[in-house]
Amino acid sequence: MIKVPPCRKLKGYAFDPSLSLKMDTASINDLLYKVPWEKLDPGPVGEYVEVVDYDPTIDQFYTPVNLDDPYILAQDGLEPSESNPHFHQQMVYAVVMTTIKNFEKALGRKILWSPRRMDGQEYEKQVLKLRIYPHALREPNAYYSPLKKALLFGYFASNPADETLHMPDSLVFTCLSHDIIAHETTHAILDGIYGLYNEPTNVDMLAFHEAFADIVALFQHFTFPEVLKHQIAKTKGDLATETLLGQLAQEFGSAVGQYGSLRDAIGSKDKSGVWKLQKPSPDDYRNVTEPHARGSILVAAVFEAFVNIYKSRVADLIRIASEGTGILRQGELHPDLVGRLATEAAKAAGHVLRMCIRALDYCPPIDLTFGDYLRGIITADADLVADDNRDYRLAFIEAFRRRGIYPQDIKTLSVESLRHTVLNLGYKHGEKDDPSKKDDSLDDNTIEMLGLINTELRNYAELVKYENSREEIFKKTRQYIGGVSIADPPGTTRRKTKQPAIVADTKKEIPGLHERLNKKFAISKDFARLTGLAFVGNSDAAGVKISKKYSLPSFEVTNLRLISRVGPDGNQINQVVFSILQRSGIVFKKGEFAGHFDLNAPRPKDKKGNPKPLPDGHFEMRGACTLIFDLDTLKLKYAISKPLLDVEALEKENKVKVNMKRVQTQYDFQYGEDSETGNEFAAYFSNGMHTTGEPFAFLHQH
Amino acid sequence: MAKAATTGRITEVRARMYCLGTGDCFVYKFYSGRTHRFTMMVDCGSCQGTKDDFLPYLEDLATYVDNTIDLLVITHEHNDHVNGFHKCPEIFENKKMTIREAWFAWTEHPDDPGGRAKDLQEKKKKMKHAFSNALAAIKSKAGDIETNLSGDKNKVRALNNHDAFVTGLNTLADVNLGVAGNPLPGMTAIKNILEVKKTKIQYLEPGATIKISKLPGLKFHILGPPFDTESVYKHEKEGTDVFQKNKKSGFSFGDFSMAINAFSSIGTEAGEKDIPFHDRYLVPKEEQQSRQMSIQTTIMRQTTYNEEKQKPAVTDQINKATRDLYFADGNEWRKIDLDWLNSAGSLALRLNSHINNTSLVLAIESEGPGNKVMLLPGDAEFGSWQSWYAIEKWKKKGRNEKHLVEDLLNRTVFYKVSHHLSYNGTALDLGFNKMESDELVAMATLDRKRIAKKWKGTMPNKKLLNELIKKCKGKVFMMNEFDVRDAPGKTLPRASLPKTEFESLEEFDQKKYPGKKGPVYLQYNVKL
Repeated sequence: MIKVPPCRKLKGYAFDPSLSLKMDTASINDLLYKVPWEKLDPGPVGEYVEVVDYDPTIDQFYTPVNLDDPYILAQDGLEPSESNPHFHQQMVYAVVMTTIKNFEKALGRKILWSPRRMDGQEYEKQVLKLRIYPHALREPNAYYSPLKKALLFGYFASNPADETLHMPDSLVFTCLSHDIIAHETTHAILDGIYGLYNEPTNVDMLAFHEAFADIVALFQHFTFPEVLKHQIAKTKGDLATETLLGQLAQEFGSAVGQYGSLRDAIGSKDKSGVWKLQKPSPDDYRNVTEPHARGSILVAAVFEAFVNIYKSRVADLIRIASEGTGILRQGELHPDLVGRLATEAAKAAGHVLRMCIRALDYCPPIDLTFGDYLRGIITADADLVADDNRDYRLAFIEAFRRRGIYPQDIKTLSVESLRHTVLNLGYKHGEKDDPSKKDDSLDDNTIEMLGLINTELRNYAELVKYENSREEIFKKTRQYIGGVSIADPPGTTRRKTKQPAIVADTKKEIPGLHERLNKKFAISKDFARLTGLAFVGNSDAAGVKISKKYSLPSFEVTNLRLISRVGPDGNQINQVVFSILQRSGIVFKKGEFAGHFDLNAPRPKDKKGNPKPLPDGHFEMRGACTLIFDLDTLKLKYAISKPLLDVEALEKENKVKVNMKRVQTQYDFQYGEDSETGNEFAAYFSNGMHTTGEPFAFLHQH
Repeated sequence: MAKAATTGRITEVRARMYCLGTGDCFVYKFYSGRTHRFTMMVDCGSCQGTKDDFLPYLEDLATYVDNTIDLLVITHEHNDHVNGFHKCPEIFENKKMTIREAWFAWTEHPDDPGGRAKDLQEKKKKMKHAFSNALAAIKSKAGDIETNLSGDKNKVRALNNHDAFVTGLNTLADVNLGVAGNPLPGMTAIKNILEVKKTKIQYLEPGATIKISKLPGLKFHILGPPFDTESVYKHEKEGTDVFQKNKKSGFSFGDFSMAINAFSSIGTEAGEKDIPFHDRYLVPKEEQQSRQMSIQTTIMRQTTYNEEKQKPAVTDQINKATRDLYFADGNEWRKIDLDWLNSAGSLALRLNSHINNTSLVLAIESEGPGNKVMLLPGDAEFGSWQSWYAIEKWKKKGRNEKHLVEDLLNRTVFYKVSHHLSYNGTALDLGFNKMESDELVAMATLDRKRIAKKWKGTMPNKKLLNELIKKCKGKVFMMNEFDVRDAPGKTLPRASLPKTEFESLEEFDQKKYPGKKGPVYLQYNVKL
């Protein structure tokens, strides 16, 4: 019996086709992508993706490639070629799968695409395969469509700034650029993790989506040591590493134009043509608001952290090679040294990439700021890597600080203050009455309930831990949240709030997490304080409607997931995370807060029977709290909150009020005097970035 | 009249902005001392308003010019600059109305010897055709959203987005497209009127300097539109080139030639479309027609890469499976037949810029003390501004060996703000930052109440307006400035000087529209 091959090798461009035309880069541009083996249908159509090569601009299909064809298998895929659409299909498939693999490695779980939200009885439908259209547009653009759960790639006739590189009017295909594919795939993956990050409620959110996608694309490059080796050897003795790596980072992005702009903040050529790392300014974060420019600050910050990590990793090698002088001898570098340096760079890049991805699990599900993200990075890393002997975390903090990126409400910048407060809340069985385990931070009932919830969450972990089918993981997770009833046909996922899991025959009912929370916490001032959410009797006062069925404040449970990772010291993390989300209807009149409206009230319909848009000055604000439970200690470890309530007023005056600071920030950003309409394209063709269902189609426009 | 008076140099220009709504309509009267010498009119249009809306303003204008326009300048063909000639032709057709001479940009030349104008007109025609084709296709697809997204939570949102998109396209179509593929009616109207009147017409090229005998002491420099199409193409950089970034081409199709081809061939036979690959990679059309066939799920895994000859049936099956994935029931929501048409938005913006950059740009230079300059750039965008500096024969012709254009900008005291205060109508380093005069005054043809719906998002650019107000020490004139109130939260930065101070400016004049809030015109008398 021959075992299943671990991976499929596919030829592809390391960058994009233009680099194959330059003598000095041609050799490194051919890369052998190794993607996990899976049986493929022509397309390719696999477990995660389906490539459908329909070109709507000419209303034609291109024939699909069959990567399982023995001839293709025997030669590690088709040869790179711009004129063969089958290679295009192979290239997108290879890079998309590489990106997915990197995420799964970092997160320790399978990637699920963002589900399709439905309007009828059914709440949402799972989308098993991301759809990929390699030739969908005729413009220098490519984007992820959250509405279609699809990647759309464009092609165009180049009108190059540098005619020596591109022939004028030669065709450029965005689906042949590693960076573009990785970037767009990351948008899709991030949407699958946090669906609400697409909706800009503050100036950071779209910038984050862009920057994060770019960070993944960038560091994915650096994990290919072949690419680095060549460049390190090429620059001979010049080991002013930040120049080399920075310039490389930028060149990766510039080949097709627009993606380079995200990396502008890393550095630029001065008047004499010498590339220099850009000096960061603490004002950057305060003053730059355009999503790409703002995103580039984050990219530059992460890049700087990477460079410093790399430098500390290779310091010993340089000392050895330079015999302690720090200055290398003239001439070519020893190939072994080149190899070691490249390996270190690739290793550091892999670490940084994984730190950046893991941080997501420790971020709020809405309204993210760069500061929140920094806290996520630090918390995630501190949880997994107890001994930070190479000061990775400091490298990040330093790089963020130099650009003025600070989380709000933090007095000092240190690993301790940035890491989310470790709560360790929850009584295990019997602990409530044990004085030695007494915990005064919350009332006893709440702590007991947290303990109970935690115990129950172990069941969830058991449910999905060894589940390999993404379909089942999705289904089981939905059912765990929403509950199951015999009345439901198999595979149904129900509405969480509107259709409570109650049927006539309650014996056949398995209550969901939502319902359990509802029973346990619906009215608890302490829980409200902890989460910043309106788990109070008069939640109406904060614009959160009482669910009619229960006469309790309505809420949603989202993003339930198991975090199971092994750290470098062999330590294991077992956590279950979920977020609670609440919505409040806000009314502004003449630029001032003027009360709340009922989000659930039926809206007036237009001629076609579709609900009309909200009236001027009406909008929805969300509050959310991510709760991270440790399955080993059975304690609630972190509560990461974007409070809907004014927690201070609740604590000090016992008053239920909406969090005006957050309301005002969202209003100012979306409607206020300084609201940004985005680019000219968005100004003309949308009613504001926060109203569009296709933010990325707009963002990448120019 | 004493001879001394007729030869006296021009000492004052009364710049009068007629406030028809966002759009340009100016009369400049030139004075030598207190004697009126010459009347120049520049453009006549507004992006909104009917004939009846226009008439009161244009009747006032006719009275003011006293039936004689010595020089009519038409900057470019956009409706908001010329539709007055089409909506109220009688004002200008009137036999009593004399138009002695008219200036157009070289791009309007009907038989330009080098063929450059023709080439440009062809390009424009192609872009317009593609744009209007795409617009029609997009409008016809609203129903598809309704059916394809049936049951989808995001259906309403997608429909609203589509509406917003169509509104944006309509806004641009209104200004850039004529009815049914015809040229813009205002331009045709004025050309006809001038032909009847046998007005002398000049088509002007950059680098020209013109002296007019009735205007002693003045020189008219022609800065644009540029000839060179390639040097105009540049990615602007925010903060140095322009106030806000926007990448667009000058006169070239830029990256959009493929999109233009596709738009133009909507509805044509497959054979007429440009296919980016060899057609052996196409799934044959006949098979596509069998879309509705039942979905077959089993696929044989062989393709043409195998050396044994494919059985056609196998290829057919594979091809069919791909199509079925796209067309299958329940997969409609993932269709992309509409998405690519959204490139029409970028195309329309490029067309709009393209036409803006065909604006005739004038700098009127005085020989009086300080050699003051009035800059009338039409709607020139960054690409045009940049090209002015490339005019070879003006190199080192300014003071201190500067390029003449830079020097002219240094001395500018009156600036007709280009393109209604948009973000890239005024170049930053190459334009705004070069205007150094203490006396600078700016007039902007922007009216936030009478404006095409989707212009509000980009006009005014707040940074530009704020900086301009600072530089002009408050002397920035906008139509309706003191009446502007907008939807909740979208208030404008209050421009310029307080109302009372504004109106007491010695050089300032205005006429209120009886019974209405806005003025008929605003006027500023520039001392040269």
